Order: sequence, then structure tokens, then C-alpha cells
Amino acid sequence: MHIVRDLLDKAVVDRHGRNMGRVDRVVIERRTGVPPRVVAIEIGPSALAGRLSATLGRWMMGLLHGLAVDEGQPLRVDVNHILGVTDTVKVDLAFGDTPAASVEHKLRGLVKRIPGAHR
Amino acid sequence: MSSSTRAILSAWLAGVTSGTYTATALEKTLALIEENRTALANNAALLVDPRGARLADAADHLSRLVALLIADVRAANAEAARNHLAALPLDRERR
Amino acid sequence: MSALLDLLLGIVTGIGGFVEVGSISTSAQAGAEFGFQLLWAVAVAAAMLALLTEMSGRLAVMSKRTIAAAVRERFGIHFQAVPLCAELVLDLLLLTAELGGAAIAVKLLTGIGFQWWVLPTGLLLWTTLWFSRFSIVEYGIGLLGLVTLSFVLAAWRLGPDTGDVARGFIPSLPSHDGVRYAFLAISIVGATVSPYLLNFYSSGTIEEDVTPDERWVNTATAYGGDVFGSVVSMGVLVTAAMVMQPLQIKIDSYEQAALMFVPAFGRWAVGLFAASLAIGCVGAALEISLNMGYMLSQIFGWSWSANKPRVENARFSCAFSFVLIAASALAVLGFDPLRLTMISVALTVVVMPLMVLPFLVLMNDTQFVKDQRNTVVGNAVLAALTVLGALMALVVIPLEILGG
Repeated sequence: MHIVRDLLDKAVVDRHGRNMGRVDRVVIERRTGVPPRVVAIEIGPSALAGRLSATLGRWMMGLLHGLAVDEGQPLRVDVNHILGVTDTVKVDLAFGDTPAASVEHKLRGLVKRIPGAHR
Repeated sequence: MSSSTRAILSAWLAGVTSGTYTATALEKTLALIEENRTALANNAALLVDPRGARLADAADHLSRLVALLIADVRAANAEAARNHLAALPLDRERR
Repeated sequence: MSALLDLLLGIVTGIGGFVEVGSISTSAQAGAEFGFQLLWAVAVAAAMLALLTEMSGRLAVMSKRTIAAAVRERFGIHFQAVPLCAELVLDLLLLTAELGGAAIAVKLLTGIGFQWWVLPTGLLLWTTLWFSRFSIVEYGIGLLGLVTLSFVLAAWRLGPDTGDVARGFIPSLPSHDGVRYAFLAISIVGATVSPYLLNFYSSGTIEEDVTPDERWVNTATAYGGDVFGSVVSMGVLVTAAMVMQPLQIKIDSYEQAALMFVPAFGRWAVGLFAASLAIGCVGAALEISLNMGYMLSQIFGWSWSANKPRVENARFSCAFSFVLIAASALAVLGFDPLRLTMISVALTVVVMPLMVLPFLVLMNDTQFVKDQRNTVVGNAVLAALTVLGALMALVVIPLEILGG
């Protein structure tokens, strides 16, 4: 499916052009008698790990859950929120509002305590 | 290793390198000789062969000389170092 | 004017940053054991590096993506998982070797065991990366790295016969120990064409915001920097050939290798050797660590830049910090740096075909390089390199076992 290929692994940017990550997995809906269609894209380590192998995906979810990040769930962006696909996938969201920001925020909390982090 | 040792010592005796460096370099050489010795000693088949046994003896001899040389250098004793240097076997390392 | 200055700085950086623990050890061993006979290998390795560097730069300039990012987008994570894991292991080992090399340099001057110097060195490196913008790191490495020109100066002072040196550039069969000769030739390539260099270069191109109409700067820097830089490697080889080979001394440690400067520099020998080794290793260590941050961020889609405050790119900052910590911890364990270097170099060769192959696709894909696709010649050379890389990868481990 060309759409899937055009989406997968591409960089995702929010409506302000800020980097949100990469399309780590694509969610497809299959129904009998109807061609499968892309329903959503997923961003997050557990989505990526899950794409490589189911076991790895579960392991990653558990790890993230244990570190209290997003309950281990990836960010799912409905296909309706996709504004356009060029070199990047532009979505109608703001990065800071999404759970995908959690790992970054968590680490920022750690990093900002180190001198020189704000220069 | 023998030619290495000779070169390291010669530089020191000529006053070009410091005692600190010379001792450091010799200690490293000694560590490498010791590794060879251990490898030889653990190789029973090699030791049974007279050539293997000679290699082991040569390694022992070299090891002791280098240890003595390190002591000479640390004591800044050029005289003793020269004597021990003369006792170094000639390298017959096949290239 | 500014572009010319960029070019000059780029070339100076290429020269100053060329030698590190891998090229010093392989070139020194080659010189000590085979005289000038392996000079051609240094030249060939440099040409390979220049070719790949230029492509990495061109890819970044035209697509605004680095190799790591482009490979993920073009080939997908399933393909990339393999070279990624390989490069993670490789870069960690290489970084550990560089830290070891720098620590040994300090040991040469102080007499105190190298393991004591690993953590201070690691801390110095981390502090440099934490507080510096990209250009400071880049140009700092380049300018300080000019001390490695000592190898060229030493070679020149020893007055080698120009005819003999020239003959070294023509590949010839060795008179002894063919296995060892082949192994060293391949190792020289592995020491020179390091994967981290390519992604680092393309990341740097993006950090510096090089535009498509400045792409001639990229080409000139890649070729100029690598070709002139290889002269330093040749300096190492020639010096070792002039000093060690006549005495039949094989290089078995960095401590002993310092002797090669004695005839040329007398009292300054150990100091200059230590400085060259230290700065070469520190420069490479900075690049490897920073590249780990770049590579992981680009593959996983984190924001990255050494020019933004560390807190704004927390995952990137943590990534390069973590790899430094991990490598320092490994280096403290005391593995012999020379041995670790040779292992890393062999591993580089094994991994190389996987690294070169994507270029064949990416450099011809208009989605990435727009109208700056490879020429037919460029593709032919690249294809030949891939095949050569595959051949080398197959034989390097057997050769190491037989003659390493």
C-alpha cells in the first residue's frame, strides 16, 4: 500500500512545525468486502518496538509503564488530523499537548538540574 | 620484545627520555612478556617440545632482566642498566 | 568570503581531526612491519572516505536529512535495526578505545596507570560537549588537532628516500607474511572509513545550515579535508618505517610506540607523541559521543542540535551523555587499548558493506538528492566499494585469527 509506505517512518511535525517524532506504526482497519484503510498513525517507542516484534512491543510498554510514562501507550493520531504529507507528516495538533511529549518532559526535569543546561 | 627493551633503554641512557617514561614503557613491556609466559606455560604440548621449552626459558630470562632494568631506571643507575642491557638476548623474531 | 573561510576551516578540521587511535595504531604497525609498502592502503582508504563523506554531505544539503534519518525513511526500521545495533556496539567499543588512548597519553607523561585517567578524561569530554555549540567542538578539534602534524614533521625530518616512499604508493606483494600484510591493509581501511564519521559529517552540515548553492564547499571540504588529512596518517607510517623497522621493533603498545619520535624530536619525543595521541583521541571521542546523540535522535525522531540549550533537547543530551558514561565505565576496566582498537577496526570492516549499500539507493533517489544524483562514474565507484567492502568483511576475521 503506497499510503502506508508514504507514511511509515516519516518525521511528524505539529501544526506549528515543531518536531513530534516519527510515524512508528500505522493502524489499518480491515473489513470484509471493503479495501483496508488507514485509520491512524502511532508515535512512540512501544509502537516502534511492537512493529519489530510483538514481544519487544510488550516489553517496551512494560518498561515505559514502569517508568510512569504514558502508561506505555503510544500516541495515536487519527488520520483525519493529518494535514498533509510531503517530506514530513504534518498533523493538526500541538506537541506540548500530547502525551508524546512525556519522555522529553521527564528528561527535561532531570536535565535542567545540571548546570549549563539552559545556555 | 628484546629489541623493544633495548630501544627504550638506549633512549634513556642517551638522556633523551625521562626515567618516568622509561619505567612506564618497560613496565608495559614486562606485562606483555608476562602474558606470553602465561600463554606458554599453559600450553603443555608446547612445553614438551624442546624448542617450546627453550622459548619458555628465554621468556623467563627476559622477564627477569626487564624487571631488573625497571629497578635500575627507578634508581637512576645507568651503570647497572648498561650491564643488564648487555645481557639481553638478541631478538630472533621471525618477521 | 565567508564560504571560503568555511572551506578553509573545514579542511583544517579535516587535517587536524584525521588521526585518532585507529589510524595511529594501524599506520604505525604497517610502517614498523612493512616499511613504506602499505602507503597505497592509506591513500585508497582516504579516497574511499572522501567519496563517502562528500555523499553524506550532499545528502544532507539537498534533503536536509542525515544518513541515519534518510535510511529510516527510505528503508524502514526493519532494515535499519541491524546496522543500528551494529553501529551502537561498534561506536561504544571505539569510544572506549579512544578514551583508553587518551588516558595512555597522560600515563606517558605522568607514569601513573592509564585507568586513573579515564574518568577525568571522560568528564572533560562531557563538560566540553555539554557547554559547547557545534562549531566550537568542530573547530576546536580541528585547530588543536594540528599538533598531530608532528607525525608529518617527524617523517620529513627523518629524510626518507623519496623514490622509496613513492614506490610505497604502488600496491606490491610483500616479501614476507602475506596474511599479516593483507590484514593490515584491510585494517587501515577500517580505521579510516568509520561509519560515525559519515553521519557526524552530515549532521554537521545540517547544524551549519549549508544551503544547496554552497554545496561546492561540501565537496571541496570532503575531498580536501580527507586527502590532506591522510598525509598525517602517512606521516605516522613513514616515521614508524624509518625508526622501528630497521630495529625490527613491532609496535605492541602505545607506550613503546612513542619511541618513534626520538630520532626526530629528541627530548621532545614523548611529550609530542603524548600530545598528538591525546588530542587525536579526544577529538574522535567528542565526535563519536556527539554522533551517538545525533544518530539516535535522527532515527527515533527526537529533536536534536548541539546549538540549542541542552534542556531543549533532553533526549539528545542524555543520549550523548549516556554513551560517554558507558564507554568510560568500560575503559576503566582496563582493557588493553591497542587490542581494543584493533578489534574495533576489524568490526568496522565487517559492518562497512551495510553502511555503504544504502548510499547506492539514496544518492540516486531524487526525493532525497533532488537533481544532485550520482554520476555514472560515482555509482560505479560506489558499487565497486560495496563489493570490495563485502570481500573485506568476509576475510577480515579469518585474517585476524591467522595473522593478527
